[in-house]
Amino acid sequence: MIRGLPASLLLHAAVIGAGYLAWPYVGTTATEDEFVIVPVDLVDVGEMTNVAPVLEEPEEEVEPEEETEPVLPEEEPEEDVPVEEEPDPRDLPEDDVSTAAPAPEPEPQEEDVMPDLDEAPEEEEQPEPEPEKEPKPEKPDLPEPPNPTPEPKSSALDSFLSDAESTFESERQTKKATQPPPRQERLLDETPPARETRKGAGDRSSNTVRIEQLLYNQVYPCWDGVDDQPKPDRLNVSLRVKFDAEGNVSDVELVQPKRAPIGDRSMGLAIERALRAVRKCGPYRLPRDDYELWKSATINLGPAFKAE
Amino acid sequence: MLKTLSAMLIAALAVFIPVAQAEVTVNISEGVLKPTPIAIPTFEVAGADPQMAAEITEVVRNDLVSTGLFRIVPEEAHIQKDLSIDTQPRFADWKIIQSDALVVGNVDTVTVEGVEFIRASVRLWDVYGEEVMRLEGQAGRRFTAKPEDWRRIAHKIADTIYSRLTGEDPYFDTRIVYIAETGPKDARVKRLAIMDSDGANVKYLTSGTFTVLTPRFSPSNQQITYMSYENNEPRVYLFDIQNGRQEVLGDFRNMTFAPRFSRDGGSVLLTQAISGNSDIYIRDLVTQDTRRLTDHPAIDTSPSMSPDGEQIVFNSDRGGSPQLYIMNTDGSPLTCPSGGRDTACRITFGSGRYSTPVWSPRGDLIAFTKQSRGKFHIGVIGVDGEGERVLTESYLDEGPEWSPNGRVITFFREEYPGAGPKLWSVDLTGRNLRQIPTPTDASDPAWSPLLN
Repeated sequence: MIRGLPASLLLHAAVIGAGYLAWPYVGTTATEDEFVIVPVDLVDVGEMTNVAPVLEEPEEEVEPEEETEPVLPEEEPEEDVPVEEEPDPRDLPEDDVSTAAPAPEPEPQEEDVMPDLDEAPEEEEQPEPEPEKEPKPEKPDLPEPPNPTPEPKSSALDSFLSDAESTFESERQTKKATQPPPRQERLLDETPPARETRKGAGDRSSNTVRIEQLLYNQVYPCWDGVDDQPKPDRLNVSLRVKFDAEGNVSDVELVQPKRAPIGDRSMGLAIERALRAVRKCGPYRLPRDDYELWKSATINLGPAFKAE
Repeated sequence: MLKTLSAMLIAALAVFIPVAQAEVTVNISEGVLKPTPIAIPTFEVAGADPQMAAEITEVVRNDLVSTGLFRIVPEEAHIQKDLSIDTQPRFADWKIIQSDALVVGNVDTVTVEGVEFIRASVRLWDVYGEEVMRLEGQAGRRFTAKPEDWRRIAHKIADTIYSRLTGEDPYFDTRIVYIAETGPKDARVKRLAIMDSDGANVKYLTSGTFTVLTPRFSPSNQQITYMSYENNEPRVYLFDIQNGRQEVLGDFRNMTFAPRFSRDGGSVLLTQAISGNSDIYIRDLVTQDTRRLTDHPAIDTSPSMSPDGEQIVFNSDRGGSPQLYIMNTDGSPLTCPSGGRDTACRITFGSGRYSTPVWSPRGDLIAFTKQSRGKFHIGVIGVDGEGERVLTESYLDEGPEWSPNGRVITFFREEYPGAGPKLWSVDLTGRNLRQIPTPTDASDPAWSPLLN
């Protein structure tokens, strides 16, 4: 009996103590997993799903340069570009240079004899411009819609650009090797279908409207308008613009008018300004998950195109 | 059956809806008019004076900036330094500094029959279009002149660039004739002076012995007509700039004033005051015939002819206060904006007194001086009397004159009582108000046509 009392006390104390410690957890389903600290990556929902993101964050967060990294093999065509060939007949700029070249040189000197100012037609004595008309090889690249090459047209014949591009690439390589890619990029890399919007999976009309607004906001400041021209109401220009996934302008096509009318200086100027505005404002910051929606857009500039 | 049809319809819509949504269309109807950024690196030199090349470049820059339509990208910001007029620039370098256009120039010398000339060549590049911009149909322009005319070369280059980028006709390579004023108010000396459009190369055409007023350039040649008080008889004179010859216009017995050439330069419109009544006349410079255009007891003066020569705008107080009227040059009746027919139609009805009308070279506007509520204004109004727009306001703004391209108006301003008059210019839109530098007080500016 005497021995049994302490044993009983100890037993009761143990039971009570155990009960005291375990009571707060009674009735819960806690598991160890829930206490593990999980690193959180902020990812644009649009990149992962078909649900449209509220903001076009991906543009800001993902550096375009980094995006182009995986496209390394595509530099090869650019390196091919330096091949100095004759200008592509389709390329107006080059034509300008080439046609200028054959201009007669002696003429100016004859006119120089005049005591007052003489204006001599420019002669294209320089053989150098010709090599720079290389954009021709690049032109063929342009038609390829999915070509993510950052500067399909601008690299035309410009050896500097090739050099610069390779320099940038090497910098990117170094950067990539020395520092880990951002978390988001890692996640994006693991989600191949991120850019492939599934069409028909919900109403996208609001997205289209939003993209139009985003484009409007970015083109508008770069356009000088035509109000300073005589009869501006007729100076309306419609462009079809193709973008690469980075928002760079990959191609611009004149829709209206089809070409600059000869002798109509104001319309020629209106076309130039429209083209300049579209090219100058790039790259455009648009939601990449909706690339399918904006890879081609019609941009109308002119007094007749009242914004909706 | 109905259910099947409905299902098919819904399925068809489901197929087409995404296609319809794929078209992104952006409509922009108003731009943001701001100065166009343009890079003009100092022209390279080949056998010419580097200082002259630098000065030519600077004049080109100043001309373009003076329009208010361009902003020069500072040379310190330029990345590409190895520019050559014979090679294509690295567009990426110019895009980075956000230059819309690039001017590459070169200055060298050529000797013709033992005489040395300077020669400047330029190319204009569209940075974002990555192509050369054709100038007068050419891939570049080249100008040659005697070394002492280097400023004209610069103005020509600026004209070429301005015209190409704005679509406007050029106006830098022009001159402005004006009245240079010196001395105290009670003994003011007023001389006829002429200078480049940017205020350089001032030359005095008259000695100042006699007061001269209201000089006007012939739109077709280097002749000036003006009013002079020579021998204390106010008369209209003609002055040939090239040979310095001066002659009285016509054999008018009475005071003649407010002369202005017709648009073809073959006639002069003027006012003759007979017994206190002023009317407008036109004198043919070839046939020497004089024809009276108005015959009204009121004061008719300050005539200016439309570019097509069909009509004349003038100033008259026939309605009680000085207002602007339009008439046919041949004196025939015309339909007025109010609907009635008359030999002269009033086009200004605003409060104030309107004077010194000048028909725009473009033909669509008339510039005027307006005095209202103790202030003077320079303004423009449509030829139909619509769209009056006041461009300036000051203690005294007067004597508007159009640049030959109809884009800029020059006038003279006295900012406060006692301040001497100075020459100013303002854009047609009312922007870019700026003073034209002159070594002395100056009034009554008039623009020459574009030089050859």
